[in-house]
Amino acid sequence: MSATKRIIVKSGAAGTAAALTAAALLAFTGGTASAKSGTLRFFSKSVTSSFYTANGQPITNQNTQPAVGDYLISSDLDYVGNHKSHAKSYTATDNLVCTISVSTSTSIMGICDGAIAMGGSMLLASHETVNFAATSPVVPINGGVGQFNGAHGTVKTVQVGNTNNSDITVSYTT
Amino acid sequence: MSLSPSRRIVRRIVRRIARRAGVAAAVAAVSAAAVLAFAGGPASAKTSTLHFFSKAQTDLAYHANGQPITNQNAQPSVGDYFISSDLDYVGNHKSHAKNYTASDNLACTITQSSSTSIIGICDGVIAVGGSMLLANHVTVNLGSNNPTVAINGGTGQYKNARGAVVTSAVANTNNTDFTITYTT
Repeated sequence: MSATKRIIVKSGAAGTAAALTAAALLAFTGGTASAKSGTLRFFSKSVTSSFYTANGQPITNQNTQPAVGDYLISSDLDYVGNHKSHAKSYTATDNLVCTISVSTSTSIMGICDGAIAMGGSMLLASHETVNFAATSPVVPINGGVGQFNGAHGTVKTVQVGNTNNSDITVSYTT
Repeated sequence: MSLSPSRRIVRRIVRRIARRAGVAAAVAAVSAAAVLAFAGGPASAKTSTLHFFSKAQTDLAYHANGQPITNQNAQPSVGDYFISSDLDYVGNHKSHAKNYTASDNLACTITQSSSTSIIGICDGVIAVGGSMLLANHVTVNLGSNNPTVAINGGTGQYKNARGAVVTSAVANTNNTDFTITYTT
């Protein structure tokens, strides 16, 4: 898989998964979003994954090494569960925007803004650094709005085979 | 001691940046939810113009290295960034719903900063239910009197949304009334 493709899959899945996971677990357990902490697991289904140069031109050659300033946009629909067994309808959505800040043959880093929307509230990853070269990228949760006000935690993703989808685990405390 | 005209502009702009930018994004999200609630219309409407009251929840500003900016009179530098989130109530600051039905978040990084112009690249999100209106990597003129934030995407029921959010600050607060026009 090319570096660009890996970035899109990993980053998109991470952001989306986090949001979906939270929603899905809540649905599964019958718990409320007001719980102070939780560990959630979700299936995140890719809707859009786009990569652009710094001047906004789409990057069509996914084998190209990304340049500093390039950015990606990824959004997903999130279903409680995992790719093998999940809810029929999505209960959350997520979006992640990352701008490449470091790009070498051994390291690709990005500054990311991510959000997971559930019921008019959000879990947020604002201006967080993500290591796309990691086998399992982790996206920190550093804020929230509404019922997730003051949330902190992490989102860990596992890509589903050769797809843009992911299973995710989000752990957060409010 | 009086400030120079340019210094006054800078001070005013810096104070407005977090308030207006945050409000704009937040207002957009809140407005969408609020208007839909008011009108009783479905979110599947192709084009809508919405009016909301956006109440600030957080307004944070940082240097490029992540250190908080404590002097709000300082001219922002390229690389500085701010994060703003709001709760959104259908209506306006004079008359609005009792409970919020949406929330928003805006993160902007300063890309140009001079005595006459402050430009940022912003990522904004407005959450309505489990769906979102999005402003992904959009350029915003933070120095304008009425900053406009472009809506260039969405998730769920707002998939492929396009539009704009125009904000109007509520005097002497971090809150805002805003209007969002979008098409899906």
